[in-house]
Amino acid sequence: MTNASIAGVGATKYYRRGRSLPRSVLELAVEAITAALADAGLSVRDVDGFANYGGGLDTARLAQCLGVPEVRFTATQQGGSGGCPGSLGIAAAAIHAGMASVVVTVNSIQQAAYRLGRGDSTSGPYTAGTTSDLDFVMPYGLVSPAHKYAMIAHRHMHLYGTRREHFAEIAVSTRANAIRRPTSVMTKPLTVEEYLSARMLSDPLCLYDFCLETDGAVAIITTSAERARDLRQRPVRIIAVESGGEGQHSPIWAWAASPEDYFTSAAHGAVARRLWDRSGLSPDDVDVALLYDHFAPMVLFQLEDYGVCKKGEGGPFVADGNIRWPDGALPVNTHGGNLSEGYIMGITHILEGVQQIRGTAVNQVPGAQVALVTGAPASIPMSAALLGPER
Amino acid sequence: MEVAFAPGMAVLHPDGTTQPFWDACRRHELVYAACTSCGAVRMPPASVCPACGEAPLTWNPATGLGSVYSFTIARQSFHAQIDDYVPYVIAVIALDDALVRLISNVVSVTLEEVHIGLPVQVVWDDVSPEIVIPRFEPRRG
Repeated sequence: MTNASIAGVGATKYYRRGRSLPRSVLELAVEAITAALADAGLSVRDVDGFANYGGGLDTARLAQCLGVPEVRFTATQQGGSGGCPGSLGIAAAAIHAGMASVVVTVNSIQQAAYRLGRGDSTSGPYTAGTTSDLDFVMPYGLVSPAHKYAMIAHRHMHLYGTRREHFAEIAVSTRANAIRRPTSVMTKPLTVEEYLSARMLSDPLCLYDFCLETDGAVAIITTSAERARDLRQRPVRIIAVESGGEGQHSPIWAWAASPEDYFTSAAHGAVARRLWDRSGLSPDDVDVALLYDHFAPMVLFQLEDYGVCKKGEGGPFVADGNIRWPDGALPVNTHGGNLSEGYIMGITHILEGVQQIRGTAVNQVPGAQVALVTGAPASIPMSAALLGPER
Repeated sequence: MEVAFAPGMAVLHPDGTTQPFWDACRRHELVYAACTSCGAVRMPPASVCPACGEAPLTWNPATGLGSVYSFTIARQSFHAQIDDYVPYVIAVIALDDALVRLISNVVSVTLEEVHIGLPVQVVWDDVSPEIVIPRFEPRRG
């Protein structure tokens, strides 16, 4: 158990890609942070730390705009959205070490000048690469994350009989959750038939396997468990948080040569094992799972990586209705996820985890005591957190 | 030659470690890096062996034969240099020679024909005298 708790959360509205203009990325971030501080009952004068991921923001400019008197701590996870919940670990570590007392984690995104899914973006967190390693990837037109995850999904289908209908269940159930929420970009139900007849973008991935492209910002305020007890909201304890991944197989080109079990996974195995070991909890203890969904099949593979179901059985597991809210064994992405609510590089998953533990979620899992929040299946660092109520 | 694919993507940035691979490609030779000491495959090449910690690597010739380990049919272009080349097949190719898998393309193939396990052989895309890219086509006959 860490001795840090989440005291506040805040968000802007979620806009379709580019629709947040002429507002700036910084302006969106400030709005979300201000809302999160108000939620916590804290002032910007209490903030002394920043712990980010996914490229982060310029702390100097952010602190200046917010009116933070003094920054004592600022750090950003390497990599992209894999490190999303891991940023809570950085915050908790800083608080534990006495290096910060009130830490902001924020993601603010505006996909107007660039698009994350493209291979030729010249700005944004993922710019077109020119390295000797990428020479083994780029000349073949493997330029989008979609291409990589499509090949992983294809091999999983080949080995385990996983079908597009299984991926459809993820897209359809996530959409059903989203349309109940006023924050969601997607507002109409999705049927299995619509999914199966959708345009293929990178076989076996179709349009509805892809996450949304949206603009917006979300902020999380972390402080010591002791301080959080005296603040406005019911505190949400960071039970455990783990980052990283297997050293030999993580980069995209090494992943191609990794062992079969690893190739057909979400690459979260190492993080998952440490999360259960260090928390003393098991998948059976989890009441709601907010699993990073850049591509629908990767939700299925995370269910396997985290031991919610056995390797290769993710397809039948979801087909049996197990991830449905409210009656499934483990409701997944009750907020509508990156697929249907909004894509803010995964931080909406933390927001939903907090609301589930507070008991204030729109699609509330009754009495939720443990929420699992994961970052993207990606290169190192990947990460995950377990959230629970203060006891 | 026939296999040309998106020449705008065939821009290389070799360093001292990867240069021998691309030099061999110019000679139409497919090679893979392995540890001189323990034999562990190091592809893409690395200057130090992650298996035994010894430094020297050696370049072994590959037969150029392999099979499709997994693949995707890229129907949507996510890069301006590829807009005129969709749909195309990206594949993980498992070489027959050793525990080597490469990312490449399957070319000279109908989309319906591509499947996991499809036997393939290397074919050379001579983009320019300096740049030659290995791609794969089905083994026929």
